Amino acid sequence: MNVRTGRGSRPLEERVTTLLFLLLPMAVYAVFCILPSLEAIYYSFFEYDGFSNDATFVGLKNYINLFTKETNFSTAMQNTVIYTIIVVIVQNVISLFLAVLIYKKSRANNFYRLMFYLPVIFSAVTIGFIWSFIYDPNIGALNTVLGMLGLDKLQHIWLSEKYVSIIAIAAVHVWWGVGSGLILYIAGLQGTPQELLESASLDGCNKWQQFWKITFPTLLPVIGIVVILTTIGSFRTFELVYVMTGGGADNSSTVLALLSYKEAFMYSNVGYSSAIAVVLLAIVGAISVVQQKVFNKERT
Amino acid sequence: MKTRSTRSQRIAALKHGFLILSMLVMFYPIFMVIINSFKTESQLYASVLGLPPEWQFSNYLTAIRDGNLLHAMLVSIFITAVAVLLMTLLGSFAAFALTRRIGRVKKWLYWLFVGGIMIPYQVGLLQLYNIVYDMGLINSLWGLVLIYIAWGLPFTVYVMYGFFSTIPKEMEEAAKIDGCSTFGLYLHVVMPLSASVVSATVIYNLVWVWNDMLYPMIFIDSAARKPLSTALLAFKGQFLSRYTIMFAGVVIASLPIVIVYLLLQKRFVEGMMVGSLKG
Repeated sequence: MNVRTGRGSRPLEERVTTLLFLLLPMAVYAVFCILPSLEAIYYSFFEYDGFSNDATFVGLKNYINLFTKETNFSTAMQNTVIYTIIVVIVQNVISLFLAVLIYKKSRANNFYRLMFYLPVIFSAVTIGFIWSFIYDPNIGALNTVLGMLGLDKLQHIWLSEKYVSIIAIAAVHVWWGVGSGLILYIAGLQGTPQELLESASLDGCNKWQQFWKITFPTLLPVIGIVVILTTIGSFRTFELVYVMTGGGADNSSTVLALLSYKEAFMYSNVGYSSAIAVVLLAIVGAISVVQQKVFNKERT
Repeated sequence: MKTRSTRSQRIAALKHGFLILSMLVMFYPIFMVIINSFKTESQLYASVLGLPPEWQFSNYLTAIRDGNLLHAMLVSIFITAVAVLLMTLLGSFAAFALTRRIGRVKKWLYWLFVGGIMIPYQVGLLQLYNIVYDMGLINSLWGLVLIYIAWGLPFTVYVMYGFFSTIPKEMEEAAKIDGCSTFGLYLHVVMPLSASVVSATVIYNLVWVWNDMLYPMIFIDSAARKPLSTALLAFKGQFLSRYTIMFAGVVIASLPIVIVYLLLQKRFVEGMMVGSLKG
């Protein structure tokens, strides 16, 4: 039976079903994701300990403190930027290089892909454990190997020294993430027009020229997307740092997401923590918007 | 001609040599964990890089008995299965509803859902804690499941909506003429066509929920309800610097997902590829 509410309008049945379909997901999403995120923005203008009922409105004070006072925030920001730059550059260069070597479909290449991708599926906790051991100053594999090679000067207390620790963790992130860039680059490379490459090779172009003149330009949009994705991914890094150093020693390896977590759950500075989170959200949001713009331009 | 082919053979040999070498470097940390999980503590200190003199399983027994890892694995399986199932169901509901003609709110609703993709998990974490606390869902696996659903929906809806809106309208019209209800359209037309996109979101969300440590760390205190990720974290405190036992724990915790990966290989990588586009 078709109950119509008017000419040209949809049957009541469709309206009701659509509404019912939206109701439950919307409710869960609103309560557990949208509401707390909006509250975080709200509380970033307050001084609040998270438990009592008195939150004092302080305007932009939390934000001003972030950028004017010499606090952990500047260390966290600096570390996050160093971390992101290392991960984005090193990971993408390695992923792209490996992808160029193994993008063609063959048994051997499938196997390589399977193996290079393997680290991606491990959790931050397990990756953190494994590498904490490799970096262990006394019995860790890294210092052991450096000692065996007579490179004692390069040995470090990897996860305790300032600057060294954040770079060491970024290196782990690279190892962890090479596979995810790799498969995207492989997909991109498999899309390069083979006829172009063949005619170029008939014209006497060598492999190197073929890569820079044909493959690389057609791959540029893919590179752009993967670079932006790795930027976002490493900017919001949290778990690896939490597991490997906890942000120590003395907050020297802390990053934005970790600092925001600590300020809220350990030091009860909820307003301040929320302000950090909002800054993080703003940066990630801005990068996402740029990505959408670039991505959509590609599609049209 | 002959010199040319030997030259290209040499290049191919060089290439594979390089690839095998870098594969070994990539794989070494995992290999190291496996071999060291079979050593005793003193054997580990005697030689970090070598194979164990005799392979023994006592670390695994300790990890399972004292660390209660098998129990944690059951908890992980429960959380992951329920959360991913409901996430997929609710995500497909919302995505399907958004493809209906629902007027001007449609665009707003879509962006409201999809905008969630870019919110880092740490934003509003304490506020989320207070909400969950007020609902009495701290230490509840169902509370955890609800949180996963909420934070998994944006990506799931985004991917599914993208696919659903490519399904030709003529198919829907035909089904309607045959007397199909809107729910029937979802169940008999849209979902059967969407197996590949559903499997992609399932795999991506599955890896995320299985591996996640952040939410259990904050919302689950009781040792008996900890999933593998935070059970392993607790391990670190319990067996402070007893690496061999921790390695056994790492192997046990990673085994299920590695098995899934090796079984599904191609589908797995495709799913993760769709997922990684989320950022």
